[in-house]
Amino acid sequence: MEFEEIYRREFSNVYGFLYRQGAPSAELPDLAHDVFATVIRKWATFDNTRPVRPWLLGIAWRVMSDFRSKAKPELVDELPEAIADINPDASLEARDAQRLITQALSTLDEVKRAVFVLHELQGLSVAEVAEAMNASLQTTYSRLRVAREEMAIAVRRIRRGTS
Amino acid sequence: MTDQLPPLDNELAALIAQAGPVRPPMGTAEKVWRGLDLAPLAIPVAAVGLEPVARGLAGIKLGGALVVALTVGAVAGIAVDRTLVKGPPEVRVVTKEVRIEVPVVAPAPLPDPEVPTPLQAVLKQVPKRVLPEPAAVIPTAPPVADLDVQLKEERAILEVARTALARGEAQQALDGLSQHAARFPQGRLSEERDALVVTALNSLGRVAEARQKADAFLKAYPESLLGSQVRKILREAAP
Repeated sequence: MEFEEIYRREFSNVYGFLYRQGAPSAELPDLAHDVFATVIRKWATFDNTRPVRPWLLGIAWRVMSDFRSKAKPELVDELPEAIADINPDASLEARDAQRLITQALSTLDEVKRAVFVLHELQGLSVAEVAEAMNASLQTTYSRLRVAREEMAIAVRRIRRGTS
Repeated sequence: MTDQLPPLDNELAALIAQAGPVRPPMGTAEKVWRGLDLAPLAIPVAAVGLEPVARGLAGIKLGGALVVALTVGAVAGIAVDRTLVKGPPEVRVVTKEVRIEVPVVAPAPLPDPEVPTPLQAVLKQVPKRVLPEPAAVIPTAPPVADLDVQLKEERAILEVARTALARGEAQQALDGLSQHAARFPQGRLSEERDALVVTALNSLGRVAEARQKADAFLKAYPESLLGSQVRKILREAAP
């Protein structure tokens, strides 16, 4: 498959993942650039008999993780107000839902957040999430279970607080 | 294993459905694309068999230019020498000659591309198919056949080691990684291997060795995306 085709098809996915992992809006283009620059560098090692998305999002996960480890904590995690920059055409309800999810996600630790985002929001199977994050299947199931519970609690708590 | 996973909370599922996907602002993908360096995806000259020809051409061009430059230099030198021995009154004339000749001759090393060199004249007579046009460089993933056996073997060994690590069998993982290092010391997945070695050593409680390997890893791959993982192990390793 051509790189350009993968880029066209997967850019939104990579961007969405970085955003949901808490990358600030101002950094998103640079981080997306870093992901695809790494993809170019690692192109020769990609096994094209396997699906590209787990590989790609695995790189995005490591880029984001690297960014988190270097950035100041206050610079990571999007302020909900900035969501207007993303999905400018989305309905008000969709934006509210997006804002609520983002707030709830920010209560999860980095790893559980990534597992939840990759599986529930980016549509990877649990096995693909395990592959992307270089973790065992058992660990990934366990992380996902906890992430789901924590997310459900966080959403309810935020709704109670805002209603 | 899925039976360990309770279903997603209804409220949360509804919220996710309502939110829909995240879409980047208009023009972001194009902007990022323009900033990417696609050169590493290009087919190297050697891959289409043109490198020797290119080298030859460059060598001949440089060689030819050198010969011309040396010849002109020698002629100028002889002229200066002859004029100098004739006596002082003629020195001024010689100086003028040198000044005139040098600028004319100096640009010789790079022949005018419009004027065919003797080599180009010869090449013109060679049928075009002998010197194929460089193929349009379309970045494509290496075909399965080109993803050589070595890479597959490397990947398989590392996969076994990774699984062993996940199972807590660090010694088995380390054995596999040593096998990889012995077979593919400069393998394409050396970076991944070296990071796994740090993890395995740390899991075995061989902290000092893990630290040593981690330092070596960070020096060898300062830009590695696995660097943060290795640093984390270093931080969390027992003192």
